Amino acid sequence: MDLLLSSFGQIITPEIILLLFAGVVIGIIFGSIPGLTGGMAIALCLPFTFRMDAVPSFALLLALYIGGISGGLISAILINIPGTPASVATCFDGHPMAKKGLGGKALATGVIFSFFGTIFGILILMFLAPPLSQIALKFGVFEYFSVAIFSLSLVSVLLGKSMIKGLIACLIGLFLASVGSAPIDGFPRFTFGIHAFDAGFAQVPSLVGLFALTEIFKAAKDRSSYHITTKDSKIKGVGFTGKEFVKQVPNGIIASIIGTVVGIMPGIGAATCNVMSYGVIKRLSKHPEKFGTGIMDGVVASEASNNASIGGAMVPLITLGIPGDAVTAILLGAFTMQGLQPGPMFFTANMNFIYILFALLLLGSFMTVIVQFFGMRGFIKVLKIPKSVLLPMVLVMCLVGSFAINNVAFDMWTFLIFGTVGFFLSKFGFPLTPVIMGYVLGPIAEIYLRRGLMVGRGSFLPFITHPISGVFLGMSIIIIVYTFISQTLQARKKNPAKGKIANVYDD
Amino acid sequence: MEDTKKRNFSIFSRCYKDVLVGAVLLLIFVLIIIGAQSTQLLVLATITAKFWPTVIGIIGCVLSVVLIAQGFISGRKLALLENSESAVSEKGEKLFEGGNRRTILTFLLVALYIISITLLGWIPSTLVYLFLQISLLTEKAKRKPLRIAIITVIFTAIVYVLFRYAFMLMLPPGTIWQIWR
Repeated sequence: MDLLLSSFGQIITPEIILLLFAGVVIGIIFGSIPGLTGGMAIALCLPFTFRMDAVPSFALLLALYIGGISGGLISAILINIPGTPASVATCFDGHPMAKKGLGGKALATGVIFSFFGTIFGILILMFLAPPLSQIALKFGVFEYFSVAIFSLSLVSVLLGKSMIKGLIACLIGLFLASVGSAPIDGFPRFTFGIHAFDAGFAQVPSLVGLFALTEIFKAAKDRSSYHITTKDSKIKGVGFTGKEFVKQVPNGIIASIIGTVVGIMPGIGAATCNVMSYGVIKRLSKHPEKFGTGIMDGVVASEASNNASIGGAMVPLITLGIPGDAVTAILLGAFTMQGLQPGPMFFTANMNFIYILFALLLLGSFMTVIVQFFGMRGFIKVLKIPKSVLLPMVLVMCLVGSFAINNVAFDMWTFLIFGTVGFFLSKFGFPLTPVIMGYVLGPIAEIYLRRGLMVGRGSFLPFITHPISGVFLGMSIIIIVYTFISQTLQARKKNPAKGKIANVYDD
Repeated sequence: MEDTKKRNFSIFSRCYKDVLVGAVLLLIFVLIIIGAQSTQLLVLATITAKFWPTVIGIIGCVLSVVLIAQGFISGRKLALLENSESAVSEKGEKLFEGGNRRTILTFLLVALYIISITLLGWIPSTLVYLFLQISLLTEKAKRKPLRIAIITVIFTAIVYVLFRYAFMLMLPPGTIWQIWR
């Protein structure tokens, strides 16, 4: 504790505060514009840190990281377009809340529980990083494959009205991810001799295409709703009552635990934990039928978990020197540039610096909540722009973002391909989230399945006999079988024709 | 006669929508399996690059068949209901009318915008695209060309300055101007 307090003493200087503020603001802007990501902000700002000392350099980079993850909730709630895979689940209840005129409450819930999740993740990082990293080490090829399959089955089964359609949507995502060079041997698949396909489809254009373009196609088909909401979305006080906050704390804790634990797993992290947490909290809720209609629980589930994954992702980075995703890989590069080598000895050899990092993370998350809280009244004005003007503007920014990631024109076509696929799928009642989750987790599942089969000499048995792997695979089967039985029973209870006819004309 | 045929097809396509979608998906997954077999393979490996897409294709085929079966069961009941409620069945939209026409036009606009960005560059393409897209999405009664043009110019200028000079991101300059030079 003394070490933490003295670290705060070292970082509370005008220079560090200014860098944290700048990092948070830029991170939120990048996170909130669909097509731009916090990772892109970090990559762009990295050259500015070359001449800085370690502390100011990490003040800027960590603030960008927290701001980028937190900013995603703004576009997800207000325009139903997640800027990054980390905020996909925020759309499920956040946007319906905005449509009901509760946009301010949804934003406030997201902001406060993002902060809650960040603090939870950082505290876990501070107190449990070394033992947690040991658990992470126990995860081998079999376990990673099983966790990916568990996440995919949870997402596919729980998020749509029909389990079969959810699973098919997931398979479409898995297929789209398999286009391009195959992992391990690198042979091209489904490229039809076109070299642009060799590298596969980039993640951000796929995500924003799937959600943003689908949204604009829907607006073109039905232009009767002029604004996202006609109701007044003014924010009163904090945005919600103390009683509502207390009621959401258990959800916040569950979501934060899921976010931290999943965040530790390299590659799976924030992209998965928000949807996984949403699925788990919906399953545990007394009113699962209310999820998706615009309730606080859904926003808490997503936002607390994706921010808690920040602390989780830092665990393998600091204790093992293993980056989990592109963002932590850039941070690893920043450590190396400062002459620091994260790994098993890093904790003992650089105790002072580690505590400065913790203090920076804590101060950065305070700064984020303050900036977002005061910015909320401005963000909410987006709802006043007519959809016919707002959506084309968003599309333009999405395309710029899609191009700017790799400066490759093909990424703009990826945007169009995924948008068209998304529109047709949603027109026929297929949920879109399993597509993107299949797309994100597909390469992870494939690489670990193939490695596992190689280790097991072609036998699938080790995937079941390894305890952790076996448990995750078992849970996946239980979820699928249970949902299939319950959906079949529900369909028999209802008059299927009545329910169906409503769906047909809804389209 | 022609009208009855059209009406019957309309009822069939709506009631058995899942059957039709399932059939299309089944075909796609079969093509995935066939396509996967033509993947170049590492001779020594037991688990090759075609393994994963083949697994996806097989599971996809099974699920598509389940979707067809489910769609057939619920569609049969729905068809009975539709035949008894003839007034309801008249609802439907032709392919190139109203909302469908706007959706197709939006698709074409975005495709042309992407082609135009690479050829003419970001600024002229965005000016034209935004003006046309906003006009298309705005109802005729609320459409004010001058206002749309002002919004288009201001937004394009702000995004250009923000992305190019504040974020220092590259925007496509347009190949045609490079050839010109």
